[in-house]
Amino acid sequence: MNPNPQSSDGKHDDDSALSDFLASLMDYTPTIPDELVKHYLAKSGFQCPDVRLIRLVAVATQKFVAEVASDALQHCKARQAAVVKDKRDKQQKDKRLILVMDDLSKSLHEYGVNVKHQEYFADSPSTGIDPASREE
Amino acid sequence: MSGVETTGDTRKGEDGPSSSLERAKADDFGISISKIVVAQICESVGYQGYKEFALEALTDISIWYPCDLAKNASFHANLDGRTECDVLDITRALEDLGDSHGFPGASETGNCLVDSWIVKEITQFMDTKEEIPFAQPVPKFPVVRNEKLVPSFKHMNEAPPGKHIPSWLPAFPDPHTYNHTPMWTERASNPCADKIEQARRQIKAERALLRLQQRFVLVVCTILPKEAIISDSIIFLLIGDSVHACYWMSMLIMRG
Repeated sequence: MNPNPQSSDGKHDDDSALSDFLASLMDYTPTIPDELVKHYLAKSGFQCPDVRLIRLVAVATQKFVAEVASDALQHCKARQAAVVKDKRDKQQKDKRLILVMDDLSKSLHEYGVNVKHQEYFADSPSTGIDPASREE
Repeated sequence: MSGVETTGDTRKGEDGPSSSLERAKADDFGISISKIVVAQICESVGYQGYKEFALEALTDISIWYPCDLAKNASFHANLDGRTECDVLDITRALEDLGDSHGFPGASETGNCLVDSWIVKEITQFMDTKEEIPFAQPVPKFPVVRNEKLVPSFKHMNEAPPGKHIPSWLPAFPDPHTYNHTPMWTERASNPCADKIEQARRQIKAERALLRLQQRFVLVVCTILPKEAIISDSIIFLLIGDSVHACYWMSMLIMRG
């Protein structure tokens, strides 16, 4: 007598879902090449000869980077929408979407990654000193 | 890559070569490929340009993410007593990485990982996003070189110099590699004895030549006619070879 007849059917469904998922991974070509992923996985102690798992890591990484980039793009568009449009030329130039550190740091902050952009770089001891006192 | 421009902050690649102070790092190749991958992904999302620092930061994140995922997955596999990871280890690792911003079903326990949110999201991502393969073919790296191993004591048929050294260890280098040894055996030179030897050999050679001349004279005296000797001596006189003329005339005198 089988005490849990539905659990075995559920298990069978799970197995088929898993195999379908792994098969779909081989049909999709991720942007990250397999050799690059294999290199970094080997460096981290990940051992698996199955190519499908390499593809899974590649797709997951691509998805993560795409999400971060799209969040940064939203920040960029929101920033451009708030800018006062004075001149026509400036308006046309600002329409180009550029990946900058400000948008990226805001986007990564939501994922728990702290990337702070330097406010300034002190190239010489007189950086930041008032020009009047510098001449003296 | 078309349509994406870079606005470098401090780098001026078109003006000249990069600074000679920059040394090649171990992972330069992987980082360069990751940069291109990230640039392709940004272009697919909708970006038209990037700042160098921002791209480098996102490249570092794109390298850190699979490394962290791999460490997490191998940790879960080791917990289960395995060394090889499987898909459920990776799914568990992905859930751990997604804990920071939460996901549906995080509080539920006992459900199969195949029904996890991450599997559904990845499937949805693959169905909706267009495939963008990498721009260039990537060779397998890093390249494995066959290193020449130092042969062991057993292999060299040598006995280790001490009993505490096992024979399967690599053999010690030859003494001439760390000690100054002469290239050839030098014998003591005696210039006086060398000169005496040289003079002795010269005397021996002169004696042999003298004996040869005596034998020659004897033969000439007995075989050649008198008239031939006279005519030859006159010829030597005419051409001015007084040495040979005297020689022939002495032979004539000996002949009698």
